[in-house]
Amino acid sequence: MSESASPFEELHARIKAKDRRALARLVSRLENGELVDEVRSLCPPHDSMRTLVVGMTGSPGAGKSSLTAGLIGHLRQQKKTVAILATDPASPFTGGALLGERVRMDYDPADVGVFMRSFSSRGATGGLSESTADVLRAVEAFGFDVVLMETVGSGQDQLAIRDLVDVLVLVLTPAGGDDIQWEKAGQMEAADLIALNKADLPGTDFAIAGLRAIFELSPQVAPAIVKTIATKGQGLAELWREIELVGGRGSHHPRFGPARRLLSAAQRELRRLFEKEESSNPVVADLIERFARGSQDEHPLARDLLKELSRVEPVDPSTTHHGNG
Amino acid sequence: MVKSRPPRVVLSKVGLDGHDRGVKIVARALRDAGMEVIYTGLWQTPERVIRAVADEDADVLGISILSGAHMTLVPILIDLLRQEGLGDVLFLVGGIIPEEDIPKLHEMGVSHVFIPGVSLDNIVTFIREHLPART
Repeated sequence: MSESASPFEELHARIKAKDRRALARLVSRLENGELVDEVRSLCPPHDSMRTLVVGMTGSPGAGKSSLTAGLIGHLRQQKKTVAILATDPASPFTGGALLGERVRMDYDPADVGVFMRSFSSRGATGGLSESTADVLRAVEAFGFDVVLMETVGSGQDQLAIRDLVDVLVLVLTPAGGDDIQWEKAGQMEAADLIALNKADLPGTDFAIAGLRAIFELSPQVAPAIVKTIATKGQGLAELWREIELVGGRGSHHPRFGPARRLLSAAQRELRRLFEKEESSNPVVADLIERFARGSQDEHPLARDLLKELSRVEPVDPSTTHHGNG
Repeated sequence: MVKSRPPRVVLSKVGLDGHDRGVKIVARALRDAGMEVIYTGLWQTPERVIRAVADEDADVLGISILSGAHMTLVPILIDLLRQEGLGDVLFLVGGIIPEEDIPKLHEMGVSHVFIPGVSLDNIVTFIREHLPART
């Protein structure tokens, strides 16, 4: 590549030429907070792309990875190319992470129609990492037919994924708790589809009856419930059919409204600024120090922190590129 | 502002070798040292390992071998790394490796061989000091 091309132009050209190494590299740089503006200006937003983005969420151990792995095989038989973006939690103490999703992903390493990438949540709490939205754009620009996104898999209100996917599959198991768990607000309301996995366990039919009863009493459109046994490959074809149905007609769950999406963006921006200033800004250091002494209510300190962060330059000019915007 | 990126390390067991206690302990130590560890599981083929290194954009590849097949598997892995343009990845081998094989492995391109008894701190420090520079 010529020296005059910016790092991003070079990567973007390679990505359009389907160079997987370039995609892998770009994803890393996005995770590190680099080239974000370039991707946002050059890679088209999801609504203009043909990629079907499917989210898989649910408790740890429910079978998200195994179902995802099963869907890879199913999609490749249909000659659909697929990217898998799987997030595992980072330690809030050390920043380290053990990313174990590949253990369950069994696909032919020579098959260039599959791209799998593991993500550490890197301290984000929505079940995905902060960079996921931008990574998704880069992956879509590469031209995959399907993107399967997996959440960290903990918790009931980690719905960051809802804003990013066309179809959200909630993976439950018959042993996932009594129906009071299902009455709780959050993921049950956000799902387009339920995969009741491990459907060879006792209690499966009871669980399905319980789920149906809940949705009968609810004003929302009941999601289809598909029985799956991921480890035996059972129910995958039916699950995919239902996913495509939702993908074709559009989710009954509109994305969160503009107010909430803007707030999420502001939260991301706040975190980015804080991490930038944390170790170098004396005012921030002083606020942290005063908070550490513990004698004061933290909210005024937090307001002072916001004031200080909004005073500093919001975007580092050296990483902003206004070429083709 | 560029955040410092946690090192990304692929840890893998290659070939017919079902002993993973050691590699899991190393995985934990690297995780606790703030690294992002991508563990591939047992019975991997060299091709699968290299695919993981490429797609995950890893800085480090650590292979655990307790089967005695290191003189066969390591050269295959090194060849594949180079073919894929991943020659700058820090390549570490751990496990039961006879002393006389260690210089040969270094010659092939292995950065370091960790044998039983090595401290976890030692592994963490070695990785931190030898991380490849990435642009």
